[in-house]
Amino acid sequence: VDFSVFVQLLLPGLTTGCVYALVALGFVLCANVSGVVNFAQGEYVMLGGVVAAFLFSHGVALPFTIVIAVLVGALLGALQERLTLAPVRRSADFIQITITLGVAVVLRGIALIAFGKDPLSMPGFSGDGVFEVFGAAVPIQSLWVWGATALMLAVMFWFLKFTDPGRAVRACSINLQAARLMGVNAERLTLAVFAVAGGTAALAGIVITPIVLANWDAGIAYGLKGFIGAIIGNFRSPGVAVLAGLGIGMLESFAAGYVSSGFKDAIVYGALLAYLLVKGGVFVFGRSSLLSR
Amino acid sequence: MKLKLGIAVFLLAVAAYPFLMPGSYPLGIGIITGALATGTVGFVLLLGYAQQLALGQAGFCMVGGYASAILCVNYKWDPLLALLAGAAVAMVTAWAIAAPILKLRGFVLAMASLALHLILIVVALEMPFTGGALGTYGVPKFALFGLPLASDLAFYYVVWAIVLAFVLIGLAIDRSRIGRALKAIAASETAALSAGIDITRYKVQMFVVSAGMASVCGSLAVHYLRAMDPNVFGFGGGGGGPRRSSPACARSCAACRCRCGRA
Repeated sequence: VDFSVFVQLLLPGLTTGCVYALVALGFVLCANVSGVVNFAQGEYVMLGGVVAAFLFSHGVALPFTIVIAVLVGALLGALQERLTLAPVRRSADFIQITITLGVAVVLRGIALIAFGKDPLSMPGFSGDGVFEVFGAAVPIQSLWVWGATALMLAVMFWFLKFTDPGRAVRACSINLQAARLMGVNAERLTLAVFAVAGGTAALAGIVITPIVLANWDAGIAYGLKGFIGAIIGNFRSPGVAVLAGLGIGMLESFAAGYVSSGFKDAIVYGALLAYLLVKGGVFVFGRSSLLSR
Repeated sequence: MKLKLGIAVFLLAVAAYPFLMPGSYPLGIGIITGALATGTVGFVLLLGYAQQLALGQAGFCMVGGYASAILCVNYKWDPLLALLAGAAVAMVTAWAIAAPILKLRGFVLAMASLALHLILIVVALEMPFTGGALGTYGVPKFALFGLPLASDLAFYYVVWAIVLAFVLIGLAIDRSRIGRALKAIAASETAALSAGIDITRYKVQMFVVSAGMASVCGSLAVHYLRAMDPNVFGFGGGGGGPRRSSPACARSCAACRCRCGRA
């Protein structure tokens, strides 16, 4: 195996993996405090990208573009929680999950109407050049993606580990009911976490846009792959979810490079399916597996 | 009584719709709505009664759609026979994968079934026999026992007759032992199991029935659209559903071999 080809596949995989990792983190945090899997998570990546590209092409300075697009993501995340989840908090999970799917479709439709169906582009933050690593050409923008992801992850883990709201989130992930009984204000916490998850996903969408373009229908792919990361993290462990997200990005890139770019999604989803079946105890025979979670 | 009244009102509305909303475009919407309604009956049995969140059921619509398109175009099959063949393939497939996949629950089941659907979309895009991204086009009009349906209006009534038949099947299941078992499973799988209900058997049955109905949905839609490509039952929401299904768009697609909308 040619080493430069390996690196050429690895690094772009790592870059998209960063986006999946941040989405996966958002999934885990939202699921922990609200008990609901937010299927609209990937749409915030798309929104961050299209809003930033739109503002930039209309002459807004880059720093403001980034700040506004992140705020839009955070605000919409908060609105989603307030308008579509808070009123139905007592309904079955089944219903709440279906509502988040509906929100995803609505967000996608709004983006299509507001920003058009053509992909939007944006120049790299430090130019569109490339640099070489072991003979592989990597866009300079990748550094921004890795840097932004590392920063977000550092802030997130500091928040979860060393602040009171962060401890409350972790308490919720261990036992939602008990945490509420211990005085955790789940309502406020849920609102805050949805806003943070929306803003984080939007930031991921902004930094990746100079590399992959921003399109109204890109959210599904980010959402599904981030979701896979969250599943591997069992919707409990943010750390595992982030690592899994990075791994999926690389798996996808290697599948495209070494097997077939047409079948890369089928390979990723096939791997997920196999993982779910093994984990779901499907290959354990006998009645006991029927009721094991 | 209330139910009979409901069905009567439903029949009246369906019968009157083409005359209240004349024109080929509203009629097209009526046909597509009816086609989707056939699949919906199956979803209600699986998602509504048994509460199995199998989100990938549109994959079975793809099976039916491709069976109808490929058999009718490439092998000149009779449309009704192709529809039945598609449903049979979908039901056998569903039966084969039901045991492992229905052991999963909640959002894990949702994701696993969705993954199957997405893999199917990739297969449809990449395999030679489906026509790839362009799809299979030039699907003939629907025919009953060798008699082609001359007008869209006739097809409209055939589609809705099938919807009615499916609704009656659904109601029969609702009132039977199976319906009660399904409601018990939805309430609590553990309790249902301990009450002696063979939950796996009922879940598999509903999965198979709903796959068959989804396949019929795909076949009917394709005979109206006259073409099948991976986007027709794609996961794109805006891209796959309504816009592609709008009659004018699909017709011009089938005619000029181009992909509209997003292409």
